[in-house]
Amino acid sequence: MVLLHKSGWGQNQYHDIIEPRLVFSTHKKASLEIGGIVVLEKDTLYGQFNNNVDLSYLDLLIENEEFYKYYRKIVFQYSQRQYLFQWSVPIKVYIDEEFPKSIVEKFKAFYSQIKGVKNLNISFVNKIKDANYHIKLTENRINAYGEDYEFYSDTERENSIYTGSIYSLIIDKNYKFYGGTLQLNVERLKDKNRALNQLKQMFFMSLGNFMPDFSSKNQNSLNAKNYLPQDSISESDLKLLRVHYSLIYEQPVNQQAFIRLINLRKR
Amino acid sequence: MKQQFLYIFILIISASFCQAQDTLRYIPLNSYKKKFDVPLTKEDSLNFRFRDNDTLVLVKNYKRSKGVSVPYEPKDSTFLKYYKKVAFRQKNKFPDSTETMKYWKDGIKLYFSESVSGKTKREVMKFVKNIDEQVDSLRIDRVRNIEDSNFVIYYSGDYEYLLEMRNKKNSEYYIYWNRNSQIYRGAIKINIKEFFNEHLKTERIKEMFFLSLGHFVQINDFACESYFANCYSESKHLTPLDIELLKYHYSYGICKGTTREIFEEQHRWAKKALKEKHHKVMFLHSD
Repeated sequence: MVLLHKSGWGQNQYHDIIEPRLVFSTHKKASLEIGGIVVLEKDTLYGQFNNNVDLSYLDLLIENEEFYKYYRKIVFQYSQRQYLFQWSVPIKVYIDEEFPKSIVEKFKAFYSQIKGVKNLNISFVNKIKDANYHIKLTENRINAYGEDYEFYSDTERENSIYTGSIYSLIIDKNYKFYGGTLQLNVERLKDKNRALNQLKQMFFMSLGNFMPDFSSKNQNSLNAKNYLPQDSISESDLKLLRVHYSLIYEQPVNQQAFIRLINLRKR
Repeated sequence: MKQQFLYIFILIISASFCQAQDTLRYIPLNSYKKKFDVPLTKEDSLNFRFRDNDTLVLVKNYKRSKGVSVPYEPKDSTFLKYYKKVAFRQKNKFPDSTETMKYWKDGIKLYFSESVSGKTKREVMKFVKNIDEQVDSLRIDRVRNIEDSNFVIYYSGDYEYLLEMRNKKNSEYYIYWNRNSQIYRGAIKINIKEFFNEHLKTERIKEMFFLSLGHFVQINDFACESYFANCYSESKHLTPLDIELLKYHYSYGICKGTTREIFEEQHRWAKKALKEKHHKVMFLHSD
């Protein structure tokens, strides 16, 4: 294979970290680079990729050390080899009709505020056939923690967002999500406010399989253990999503690769 | 080397010469000595022919083996690089040279379990028929009776058609192949808790079915629209390169069921023969 790159050193190095994926077609697009050519009996296929990668979103992390640490913690969960997860498709949410209307309306109003986050599109659909994210009630005993997980008290267990709810996501081999289910135990509806916040927090985490930050003092964050319910999404959570979704990575990105991207941007 | 697909080389001095003397077969002197442990006679030497720097010997009483002889199908190096990755399941930089390519020798007879909706069946069959029409020597049909099938598509909660998948929670395919790397039975099981609507189920079935056609491994070289790409796309479709790779997998211009090592060796040899001697190389496939 012949790899032809632009002479610009910066973008070349980006593709050293994130190998491009090629679209093979008989038509050459002038805006794309050629990464490989396959000669067939009748046709020639040009494998092309986009070499215009904008890493300026990383400045938000580079300029704010505290935010950078927080991002690495909740995305990479203290591991160099942990991969970053993203949704690679628009999220179309269907909420079961069994949910109380007040919860559904507030949940929709809350997440409809996420507009203008590049590459993250959340919408609500009325039919399950149109969805790729299903929020449903269950009578099954479900918890997002193991049997041996210990809480300090029964009250803490009862109030934990992990009690009576769980999400599961369909993931491809590129660490991208393309489907999901969030379940809530029907018993949790006894306290509607708690149920609403539980759904809000669990859904937020499922946007990147974010690790909850139990030590966070930021009570505005959906990722915080002591989140204080609010009607609108906080600026800090929006900032997190903007950084996380500015670029859908074509290849799996672990913390090591991510740090290399940061260093590339710093140069 | 597998007996099932005995491949022999037939060196044809030139196309016109060969067509004119269909029953005569000449091979280079060196090859003759290796193949036949008998001294050359005066008669042999009278029949010598010379081409380039080779002396060619007439093979007496040449009997062509039964089977179908197909000309070698040359491909460029980039194409072969991708083909080897997907067909010989290269998962990292260090390929396993002993991995064999797998293929369906006989037709695939698809059976859908009763819980698969009519819409999903239609969508899947549209996809399958497209493959069936485009790829020679791969025949795929739908059957109505499980007894007539060799491939079952079913959902979690259905009757467990394949014991091997009984405890599988992921949505996967499972295939069986014989010692000649010929696939003869398969199944796809979809976990309907995860893949909760028709669209998700259908797309998963199509992807799994495609991979089961050669026990292909998905790679990270291609954009996600390709079925050979290891990432999801809402616009996944059979790209021109997907079709070419699949056609090549089922082409008889290469040997089937071989290891990567043998595949590479054959290519080296056939390309050399084509380039240096302008010999046309035929692959004979016999049952």
